[in-house]
Amino acid sequence: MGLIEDVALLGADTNDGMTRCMGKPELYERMLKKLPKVVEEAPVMPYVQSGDLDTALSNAHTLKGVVGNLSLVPLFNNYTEIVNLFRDAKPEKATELLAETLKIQQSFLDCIKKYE
Amino acid sequence: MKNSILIVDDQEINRILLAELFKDEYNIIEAENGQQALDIINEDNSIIAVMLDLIMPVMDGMSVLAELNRTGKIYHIPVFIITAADNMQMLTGAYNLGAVDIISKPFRMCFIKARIGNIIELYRHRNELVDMVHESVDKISKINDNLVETLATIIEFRDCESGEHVKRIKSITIKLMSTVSEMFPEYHLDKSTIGKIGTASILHDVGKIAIPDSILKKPGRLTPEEFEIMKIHTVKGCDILAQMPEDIMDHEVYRYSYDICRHHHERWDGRGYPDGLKGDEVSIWAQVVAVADVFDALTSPRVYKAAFDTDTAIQMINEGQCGLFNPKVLKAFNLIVDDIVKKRRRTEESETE
Repeated sequence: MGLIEDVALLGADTNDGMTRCMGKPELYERMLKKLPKVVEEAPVMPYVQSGDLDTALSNAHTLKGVVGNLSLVPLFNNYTEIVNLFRDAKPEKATELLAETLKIQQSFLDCIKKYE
Repeated sequence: MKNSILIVDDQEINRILLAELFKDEYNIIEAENGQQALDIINEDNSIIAVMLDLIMPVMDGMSVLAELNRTGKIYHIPVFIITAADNMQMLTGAYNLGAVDIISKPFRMCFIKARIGNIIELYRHRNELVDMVHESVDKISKINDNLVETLATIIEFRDCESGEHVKRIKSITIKLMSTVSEMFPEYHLDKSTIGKIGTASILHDVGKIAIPDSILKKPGRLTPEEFEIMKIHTVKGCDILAQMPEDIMDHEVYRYSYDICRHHHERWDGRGYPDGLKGDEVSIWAQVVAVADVFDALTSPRVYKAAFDTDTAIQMINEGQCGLFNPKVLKAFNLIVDDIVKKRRRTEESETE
């Protein structure tokens, strides 16, 4: 078992991810290992809590793009919905979904950190 | 040199994935925000396509598009929007600002490569065609200028002049018009327009072809009756221009030629001919050619007179002995007359060597 197989177990579409990385597993792994830094630099919840919903939306949008390109499907689906909820002026629902999403995100991060 | 693709995205992962797709065919340049992207585009001529994220810190993608639009660069470099946004209003705005295509995140690599490759090829062909058209236009314009110059030189020969007079008039007109344009904002003209006025000035005396030799080549002062006939060269010049085939010269050059031909003997106080126009009723280009023509005529020998030395000629012009001129044109003339004289000397010296 390696990193790619492990993230697949968490719901990542690794075939899709590999295609995006030109069929190069080492590149896909390298990209996956960059996720923790992105998550750290684009936090969403602190901005929701401080009421800065514009930054919260912007960071959620950033994460949507990145996890989409890494084919982390459960995270991509959730961040897509979170972005839509913020745009539809439904911050409470967005926050609720974000709390769930952070748990899924943490499981991906824990998995990736095992291979650093 | 390899052509370059500029990838603009604040997320390194997105940049790396796109770079991986194109790195074998193109040089890859990366930028983390819109400001960096603009700085690179302004400095690097190898960029043939830009892949631009919309939501970024410092400067977003829409601002980059707006700036590329303002500078006209958007017409030469295709810009692809790469975005996770599905906001229709934003995407429509990007298209309206000249984006050629929207590439959605997550990327579909095989489509991206084909779509971007096709458009890059299309732009390359288009840019080549634009260059070819510019080259052809330049060539035609040079041929037209030469044609006009040749025509004017033939007429000058009849007037016992070499073709140098018309060349000097063109040179003085361009220099004087440029100086007037710089010194007095109300007369400001761009460089291209001044070039056209210079070309047009060559034909100022085309109407002299209609003046009988007995008057044109008279080695003495004209009688009042003869002078009246001489004066019609301005109007006759316009008649000749009016009969020229429409496409023989640039439309704007034609327009300036016609005006200069008719009005280069008008004077600031309204005592010139043929229409007795006063002040700025006379176009600034006709006023400029008038000064250029008088100065060159005074400092050149004619069948009816010897050449005056330059100081005397300048004095005569400033004192209004050859009619009154626009004080602003005179101010510019006095500023550059030394350069005009030096240039003429250099030309004459190189001819005698």
